[in-house]
Amino acid sequence: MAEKTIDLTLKVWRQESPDVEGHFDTFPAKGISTDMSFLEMLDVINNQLEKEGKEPIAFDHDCREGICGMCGSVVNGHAHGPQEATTLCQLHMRKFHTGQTIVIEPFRADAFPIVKDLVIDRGAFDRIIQAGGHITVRTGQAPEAHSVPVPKKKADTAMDSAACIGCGACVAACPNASASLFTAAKISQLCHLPQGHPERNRRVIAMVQQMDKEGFGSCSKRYECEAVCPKEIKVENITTMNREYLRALASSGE
Amino acid sequence: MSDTASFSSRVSTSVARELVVAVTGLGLIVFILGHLVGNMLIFAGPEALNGYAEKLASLGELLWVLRLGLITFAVLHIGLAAHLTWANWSKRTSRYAVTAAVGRKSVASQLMIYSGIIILCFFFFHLWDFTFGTKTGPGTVVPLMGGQEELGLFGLVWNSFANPLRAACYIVAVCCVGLHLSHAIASVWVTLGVLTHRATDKADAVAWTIGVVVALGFASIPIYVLVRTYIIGQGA
Repeated sequence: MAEKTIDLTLKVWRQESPDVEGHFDTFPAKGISTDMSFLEMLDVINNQLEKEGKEPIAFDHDCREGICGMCGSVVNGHAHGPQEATTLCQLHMRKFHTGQTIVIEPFRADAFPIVKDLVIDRGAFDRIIQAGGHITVRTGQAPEAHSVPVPKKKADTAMDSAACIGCGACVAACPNASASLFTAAKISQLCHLPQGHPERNRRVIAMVQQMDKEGFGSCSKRYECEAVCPKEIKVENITTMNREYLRALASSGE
Repeated sequence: MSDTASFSSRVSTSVARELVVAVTGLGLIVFILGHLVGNMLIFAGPEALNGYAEKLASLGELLWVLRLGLITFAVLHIGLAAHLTWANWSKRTSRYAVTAAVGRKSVASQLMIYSGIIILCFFFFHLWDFTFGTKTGPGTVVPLMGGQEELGLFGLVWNSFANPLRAACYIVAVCCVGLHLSHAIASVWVTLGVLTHRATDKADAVAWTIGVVVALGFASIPIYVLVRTYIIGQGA
């Protein structure tokens, strides 16, 4: 199969540091192979920029196989680009066509300060996880597999929630910059399993409080988060979080 | 631990506030549905509607208990919803240059605060118009219904809606109520922790249906009065 190339115009958000005003820079991107991933396309542009003695575009990336949650930008208004259930690194340039202008912006939320260009600080997510605290598991020798039975359906639900890679696209797409889907997925992956039960009441309260403290908004049930999630985390997780919250309110103490 | 344990910090999170908005909203929906059913008595004639109004008034102290309950629900609902919306507006101070339509985002979901504000303004106008309006005298005589008899609340409502501008305001307001309910009923199940992913579409359909029924139901009254007054006339 012959390689196909396309010519594009990129409008990229450039911002020197968190406290300075950002702006858009426009670059021509000529002869881009449609077999490249989006990040490889940015690599090519950065090589050109470096040759010209200019500052390359700063963007986050790590595994480039869609499982680490490091990459992510808003491409033409879509977090992680126009393809559903796909991280930016797994998006290929065949999804674009010659002559197209691509606007690339960072995930915008006040709780995710811009570090540089497209790189954001997602430390707020780490602090929400930390607020969740520990779970009770036996350490030492591996327990006998049948000693802690987990119903298949619950295991599946927990696993679906655990697919969240914490990329922050849900926050980026939410009109309220809410971290409800992320927080809910992390609560849901533990509350369905017996290992997560002893701390479930304390955990949901602490994580929701931390979510508020970090400056995320609340959920208006507009489902943008679900639509852009590269791991197809469902709003049903937010239902679970609210149910857990009600349960915690109703119980006294732990 | 001490931070998470205190009761006041538990009930002041965004999730807890949303729960209160949801529960009070459900209470207000029950009131609206009851109000709609009561209003339908206008089609049964002056005696039916006026009799119903008198029966309500004769509840005396119980009526005030219900009213105070409703006012409390409304104050909590409006206060917390306005607070949440205001807080949400400040969470993204740098705007996107390009935005795309994704998700289920409906017109109703985007306009909640605005439809809510219109409903609140309408509520005061509506009270002034009918609850505190004069239900005796020449303003309650409907020549169309024959005779010079004073028709009490029925006459007041009828003459009010016979004014096309006023009727149009009412129709717009009740459409806002329907719009508000269509997103409210679809999303309240998420807030209350009972909606499964598979039921999302069904909840949307039910919410939309209730929204349309409420809007059409309330709007049918001014439309009926306008039709009787300007199109069908006296004979009907």
